[in-house]
Amino acid sequence: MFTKKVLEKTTEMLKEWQERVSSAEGAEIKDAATASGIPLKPVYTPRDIEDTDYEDISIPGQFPYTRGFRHLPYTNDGWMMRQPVALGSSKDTRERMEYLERLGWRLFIGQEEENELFIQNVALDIPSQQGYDPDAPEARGRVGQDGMSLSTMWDLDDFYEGRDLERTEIFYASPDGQLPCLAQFLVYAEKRGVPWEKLRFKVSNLWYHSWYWDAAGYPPKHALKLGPEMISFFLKGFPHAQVASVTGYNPGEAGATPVQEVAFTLATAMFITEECVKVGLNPDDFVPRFYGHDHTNLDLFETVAKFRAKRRMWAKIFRDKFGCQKPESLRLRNFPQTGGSLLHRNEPENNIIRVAIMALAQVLAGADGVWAASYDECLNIPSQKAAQIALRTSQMLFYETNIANVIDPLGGSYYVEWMTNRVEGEAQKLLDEIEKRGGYLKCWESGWFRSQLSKEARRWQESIEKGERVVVGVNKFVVDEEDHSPMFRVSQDVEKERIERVIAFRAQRDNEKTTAALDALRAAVERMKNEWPESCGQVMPVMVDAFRAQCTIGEAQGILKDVLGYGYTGHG
Amino acid sequence: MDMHDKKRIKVLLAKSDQDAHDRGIRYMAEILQDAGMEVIFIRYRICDQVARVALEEDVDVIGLSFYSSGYSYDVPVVLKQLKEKGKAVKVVIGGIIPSDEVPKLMEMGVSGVFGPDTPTQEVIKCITA
Repeated sequence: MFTKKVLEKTTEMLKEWQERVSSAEGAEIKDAATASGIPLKPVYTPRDIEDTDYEDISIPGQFPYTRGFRHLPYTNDGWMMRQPVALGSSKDTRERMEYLERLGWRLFIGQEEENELFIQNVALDIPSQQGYDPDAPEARGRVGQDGMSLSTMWDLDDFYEGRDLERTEIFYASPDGQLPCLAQFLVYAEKRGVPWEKLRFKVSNLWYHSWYWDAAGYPPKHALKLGPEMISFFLKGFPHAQVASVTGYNPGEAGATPVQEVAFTLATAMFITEECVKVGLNPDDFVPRFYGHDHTNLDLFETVAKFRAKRRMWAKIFRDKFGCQKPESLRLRNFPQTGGSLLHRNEPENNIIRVAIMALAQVLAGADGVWAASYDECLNIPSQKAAQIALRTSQMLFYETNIANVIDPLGGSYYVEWMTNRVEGEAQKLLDEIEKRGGYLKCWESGWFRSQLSKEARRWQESIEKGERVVVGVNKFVVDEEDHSPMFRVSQDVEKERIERVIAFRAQRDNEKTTAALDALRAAVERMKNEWPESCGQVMPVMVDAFRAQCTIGEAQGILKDVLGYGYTGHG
Repeated sequence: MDMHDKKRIKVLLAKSDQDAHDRGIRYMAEILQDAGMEVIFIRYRICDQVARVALEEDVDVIGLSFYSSGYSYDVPVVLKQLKEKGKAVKVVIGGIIPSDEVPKLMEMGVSGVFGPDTPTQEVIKCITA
């Protein structure tokens, strides 16, 4: 990439630099490393990337997409504002969404008014995610507390009435509960007379999530069927549906280093693809509809390098391993989230700054979306004020800093290009190790992935406890350990109202019809369990029928858990 | 609580299925094991299971972890059931607990409430006190 002359001159200058450093008093070079443990030098030069093939850096919008997918800067089409809003009942959530919309919250920042789209990024409360209606004993104390409670069609009436479904991108965060909540939504859209092909979705499809945390409803051998089931359903008749999320966020929160995140998410994407091929799908049909949801670390430059390295690796893997032809298959659109585990409860206002730096990293890395979290994320679900500040963070980055005008501003930096290569190299070693250990499914079932994350989580925590890693106001410069910030809480009354409502819903429907539809669903799920992959594509349509017959989220999810999972005891 | 120096302290760490993010409790499980304690880790479906397991396993300490608001329901139930069974167990809580809830939990009979930034030595000190 550099002429011989430049390299020779660099060596000469580096020598001078070295001499100056060695002769200066107190100028010893301290050990430094990235969040992944990659050792750092104080300065980088052309020598550090002399072997890099310029075609591997390339130009924005061109293979291998190291510099991102865009031909034009953010100022042309904005970035997606991925902030989540979810609390209490669907009415409470809607109220918060509409408040933020008055402040300019849209799907894309910087869009002209006539093209405006809206975003719904709703996390369900845990009972709804796990398939427990509000009146199930498992739900006690948790209804609407940590996300939106969703159970019946009435909740969707409250949520969407008068809102333009065709101009809203729908997303429900509910890893194991995707099939029921999207089936219910489709029936709602049908009721409203909105054709399904007009709907915009991100299907969360995180059925594989037990490799990085406990909270999964199905053993791997059955979980792996739910991905292709949803993907094959949404490929037909839903041109605006992104069919599967490849998440690095939750692994990152469980302890994954940026390097591990790259390797493990790529391994996940390859596995999903292989499972879909087994049911007869063609990668070029569904891979363009994958989307990424990555973690963001406070290690700014390693984070930028992580996104760049992952884009390059993705492009090469899907071209070379899967023979993808479409350029869209080689581009994983990524909607990262700022790391919640990097926020702290001492002096919580400091988190506003931490989030801003992570959001800046997302923009500098060329992410397709910016998810700036609320500063009180480590205390409670966001207060309205904190949600407002998170939105303002994204808006200030776009409108006030002048960083949206130039694509991949760090491209060509000796340091960033070197780091990009290094992250790629380290991640490739891990991918090779996964292969050596028998592949993705083996590493998932044996708990190897989990053990790797736990080890890193421990290393991180210990370095904070020992003071090797400074967290300002937490383990250094601590002035006041008392937390005086106001705490936001959803009223416990929500639970009572929600229980009454689901009971009233069940009382007004034709229960015989509902039971028959649920029996048909059970039969379809049994077939999925016993006759795979031939039965692929049979569950989702029957589940839609069950919601036409007014079943609840708990009832539909309960059947999935009972047949494919570890059992189900919720009533309803 | 009767905890002789020589007896190995037995700890039940428990987290609800209706809760998420197990990084903290898994880290604590390792730290307590390294400190010489015997650790049992369960995920429970409903909180009634906690006191039952605590009795069956005859533990000295229960550590409950919450990222969600579930503590508001689960903790009083666990304490009540332990009392009914006449089981003297030290109960500690970890996770995302709003600080204004801490005095209420302590008054109920909880021995310590710890957040993500609590040094682990403080947890060990509380357990062995």
